[in-house]
Amino acid sequence: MRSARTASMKEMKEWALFFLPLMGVLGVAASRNAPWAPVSASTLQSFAAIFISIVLEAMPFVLLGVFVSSLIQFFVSEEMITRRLPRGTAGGLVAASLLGFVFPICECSSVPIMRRLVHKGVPLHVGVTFMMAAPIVNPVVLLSTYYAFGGNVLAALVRAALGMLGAMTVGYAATKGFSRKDVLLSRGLPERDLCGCGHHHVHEDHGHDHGAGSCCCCDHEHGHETVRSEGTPGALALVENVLRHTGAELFSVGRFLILGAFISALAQTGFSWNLLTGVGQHPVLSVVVMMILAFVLSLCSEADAFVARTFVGAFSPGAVTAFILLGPMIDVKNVLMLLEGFRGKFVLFLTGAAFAVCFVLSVAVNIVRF
Amino acid sequence: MRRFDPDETLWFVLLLGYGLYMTFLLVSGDVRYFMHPRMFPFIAAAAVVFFLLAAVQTSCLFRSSDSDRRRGRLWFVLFALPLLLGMTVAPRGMHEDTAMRKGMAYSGARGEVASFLDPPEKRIGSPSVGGNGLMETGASDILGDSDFDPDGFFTVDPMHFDRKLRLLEESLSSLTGRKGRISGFVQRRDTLPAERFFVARMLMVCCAADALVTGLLVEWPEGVALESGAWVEAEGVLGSTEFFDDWLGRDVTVPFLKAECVMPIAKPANIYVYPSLPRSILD
Repeated sequence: MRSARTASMKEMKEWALFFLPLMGVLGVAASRNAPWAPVSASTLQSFAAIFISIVLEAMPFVLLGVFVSSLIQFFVSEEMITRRLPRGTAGGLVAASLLGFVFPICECSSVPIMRRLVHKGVPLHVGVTFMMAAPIVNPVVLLSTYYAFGGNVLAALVRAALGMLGAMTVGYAATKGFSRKDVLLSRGLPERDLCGCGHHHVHEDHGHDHGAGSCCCCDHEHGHETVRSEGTPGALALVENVLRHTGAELFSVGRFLILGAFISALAQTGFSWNLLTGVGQHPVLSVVVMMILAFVLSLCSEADAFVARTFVGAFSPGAVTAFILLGPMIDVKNVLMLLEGFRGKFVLFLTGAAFAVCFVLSVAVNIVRF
Repeated sequence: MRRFDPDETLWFVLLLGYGLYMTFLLVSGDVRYFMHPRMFPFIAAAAVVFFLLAAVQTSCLFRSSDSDRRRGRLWFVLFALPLLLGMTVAPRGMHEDTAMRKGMAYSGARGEVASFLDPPEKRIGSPSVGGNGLMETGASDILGDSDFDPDGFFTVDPMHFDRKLRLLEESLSSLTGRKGRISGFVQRRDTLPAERFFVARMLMVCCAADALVTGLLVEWPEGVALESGAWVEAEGVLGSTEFFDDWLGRDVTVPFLKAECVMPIAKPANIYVYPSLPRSILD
């Protein structure tokens, strides 16, 4: 009786958590033209436009990432990966840093794919290097860098070379500090991973075995009325399972994308860039400021060079380089998405390492070019 | 026994909601307030995937919920937030004042942009070279007859806004003294006298989040009365001038229009302009 009441209270609390913020958002939106509105109509409009545009821009690529991740889950075995990867660390680092040329993906896709690859047994240094390098060496990104900087080939080349170097350094450092098993969160992908069906399993004795990494394709209701688990699944069942898995991963990753977009939109709406000009020519401080800005803004790597060009002249060359290097490697929304699959300590390490490597490379640019 | 699962149903509603919202944006054309046109096919593909995911999700409406989704209904609010804001606030693009918080990508700094990684002694605009931000050499675009209107005006039109501004800078000596025309919103800078202002547009590369303000400096004696953000079309004579840029912290030389006539115009349906490639690349 008591436990039923406790469960009911918990349920009510959860619904309150759902409806109260919902009412708050609707209240703020409804009040946009009222004199007592907490924010002006133009601020709210700009915030909403930036927030929605980041979500819309990233969502197709997150969908692509979670779909590829699901395909890997269903069709790629650990043995297949192990067979095809270079044996040595150095070979793995170089291969991973070059993969972006072949698979032109941006940072929104690279996080779920890297997460899945590491779950599937890809060495940590390969996964990390791939995740950080792919959004930089992507040919579309390099072309937009070339164009944004007025046909400056050097800018595109420096970005590609330093991006690959930075990603390999962070990837190498990751293997020295962590092992693959230590960094994976048990709650990240596990239940779905066990059977690959995207469903919660109440593990009762229900008549068939779920081998780790296999697809049971059983049209669940685990604990249950209908069981259809014998034999190989049909093509339609397989497609359905891949889509279910995609949906489940979308929930897992997408919420952090939206949270990151929210933080980024808040920063863009509330912060005036003119406040930054005081440190623009300082060879070290300017780099730090630009790295923080790139981290918070979470711009797409295809577009960030156009924003970076507005800093030229006002900021040191190294600071501009830092802006286009760090953003694709790590930013607010990536960190939040990573936290869903990896331990906080590891995500903190990745963030710190990316900052440190970009800082060193960018200050080096200032030493050479200042 | 099968029972109705509110969490799985909420997820179904959200998947369907995203598919419908994206479809609505594409059909109504409102997607232009958020995205560059080249991104539209990606949005259409995403809408299709959301409908597919929603269709698959229907089979889960009467089964036990996924443990992740049980972790907190606050996550559903987060997923719902873009949809709620899209439907209630229904933003018509970023406000000009917010875009201006990022400063101004006016054409005076282009020369520096193209040489920012060059050694200091070669970098255009660096103090050792003389502080002129203009690109004097290495023009990457060619001024042609087709860049002029039949009435002889060099018009910085919305379709080629970015390219025309670049062309104006690269071919300034040829264009000095020629008639020019530009339309956009009025943007003021603290360091400019009241009769001088920028006529600007928001340049979108991928989405509204990366939109930058870019434009041409205009001088008009009656410009004192113009409010910041007002939409105008200015006609006059092209030339160059110097002004103190508080963003760069020094004097810069920029192309400018000495206006003879400034007329108010209606705010265009599409407030953004997009980067346009040089003709040498397009050809």
